[in-house]
Amino acid sequence: MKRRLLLLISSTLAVFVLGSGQVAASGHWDLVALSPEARLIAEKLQCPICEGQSILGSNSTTAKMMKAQVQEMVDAGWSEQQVLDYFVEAYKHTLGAGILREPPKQGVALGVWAVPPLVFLLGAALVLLLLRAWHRDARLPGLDEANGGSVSEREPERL
Amino acid sequence: GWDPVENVSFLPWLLGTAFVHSVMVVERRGKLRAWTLGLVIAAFAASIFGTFVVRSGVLSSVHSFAESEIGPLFLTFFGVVTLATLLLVFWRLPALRDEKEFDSVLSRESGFLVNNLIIVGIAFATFWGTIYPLASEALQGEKITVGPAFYTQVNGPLFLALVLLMGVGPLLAWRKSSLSALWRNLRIPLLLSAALAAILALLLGSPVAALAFGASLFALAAVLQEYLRGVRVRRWNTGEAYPAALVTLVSRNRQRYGGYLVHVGTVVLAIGIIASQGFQQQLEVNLPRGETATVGPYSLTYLGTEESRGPGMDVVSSRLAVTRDGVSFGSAIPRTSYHFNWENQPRTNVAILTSLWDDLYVFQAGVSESSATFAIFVNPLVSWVWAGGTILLLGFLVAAWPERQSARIPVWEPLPGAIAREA
Repeated sequence: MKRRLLLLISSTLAVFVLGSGQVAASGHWDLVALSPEARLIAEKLQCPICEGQSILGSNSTTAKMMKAQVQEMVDAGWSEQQVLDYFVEAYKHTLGAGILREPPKQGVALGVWAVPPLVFLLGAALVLLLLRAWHRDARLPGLDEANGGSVSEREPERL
Repeated sequence: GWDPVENVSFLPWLLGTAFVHSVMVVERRGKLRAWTLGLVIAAFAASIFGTFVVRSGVLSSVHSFAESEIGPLFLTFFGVVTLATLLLVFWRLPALRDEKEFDSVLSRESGFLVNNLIIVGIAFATFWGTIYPLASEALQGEKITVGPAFYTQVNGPLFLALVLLMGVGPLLAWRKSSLSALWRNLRIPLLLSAALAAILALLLGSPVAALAFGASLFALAAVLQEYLRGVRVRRWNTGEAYPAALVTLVSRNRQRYGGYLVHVGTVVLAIGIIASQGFQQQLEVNLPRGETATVGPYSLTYLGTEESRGPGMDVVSSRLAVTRDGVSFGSAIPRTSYHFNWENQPRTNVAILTSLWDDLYVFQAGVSESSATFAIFVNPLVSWVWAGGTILLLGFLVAAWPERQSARIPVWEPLPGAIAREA
């Protein structure tokens, strides 16, 4: 029984050895205590070894070390942009801008931002055109349904 | 959470929702036939595409499934289904001609067009964000991560527009609405929700959240007003008591009032999601035994930790006494389980306490001889998410329960010959 408890303690202690003294001093075992500013930044960084998780949400050793690093930078007065830029630079040979959870609005990633609004506008234009066509078709003479059958059935004869 | 696997399973729902709206235009006005067919095909194809994405492991997701050889098979199936259905539609396109009659742009049918535009827009953005990292890596060799921030920024405004339309749409008449009639129907929900949004903007300090809650209340008030109006009319005409009038009203127009109930469920769900995502409070704290931490309305006192042996595992569990606004609210017992032979991969059980207004999650992060570390979360209105889902399902059952025979009369009134043919 005690063995498990020790295991829990030792495994969390291992994180401190790997992480920074900052974290160890805060007296936390497993979680890296983050200030609200650091937390916001950690949520914007992709965990490089996890699938689809931010470093904030990840419990991996890498993520914990990165979180500790973020906290240190924030404490040293770095701005959010400086921290993010630092990690993009640090991972430029592997993930590059992929380290950012929010794709940058420039370069190749611009496509992900630009296309959906364009498609939406295109769709809106189509809706307007369709409404105009409906309006026009309804006014065409000789298309009232008084002569039997619906318009769709008489269409082939008429054309 | 806007994870790729969640996204692809969301797509068929979106397209299906667009379909159940546009099909009403087909049914009542004989328009949008080919488009509606396209939507139902797209919804089916999206569900196969989703299975392909989930099972093939092409996208990275927190929900990692065992990878298998089934991916190429599903991709082939997806291709065959899409191609075959498109060919069929083109072959039968002459039979899908729309009715020509159209009265006014300010009408229910136009409302459904806008509804389809917004929903398909959301579906496209979701699809695009999900596959873009894949395409960018394959074509440009550049890795990109598309996280939740993308979806909240792109889809957020579209969802807001959809909720607003949910309030306006049901008040538009088929064929033709007049602006004055629309205003008469809209003014009470509009004024109520504008007032609420203003109050919330001051209270919450977040204009975006205030706008979202205001739009939700607007849609809710519009639907309730529709129910009230229907019941009043029945009571006036038949002299039934209010409850009886409500029952007959709903049972005689199940598609309509069931659909409204689905709207109510969706709005309640939306309120729950916005509140729990946007107003979460959290605290990570190391508590010596006997000490108390406070998060939001909750105070938690750490009582102690014990170990026990369960079937095939050892369990470390901590006990915290919880009060909410000073009133005892039971105890939270977060646990960590160590399965034999898998001790290096402990399993954590979060303690969850639910109230009408918020959920308390307590996660045990670490334990020492005299203290323990906890992550404590207060998630507002989570129970609303459950309630909204339940209402939605109920509304769906009311609307979709099979009728014995369809007695629906199209409002474009085809000639007797056409009715005989349809019957």
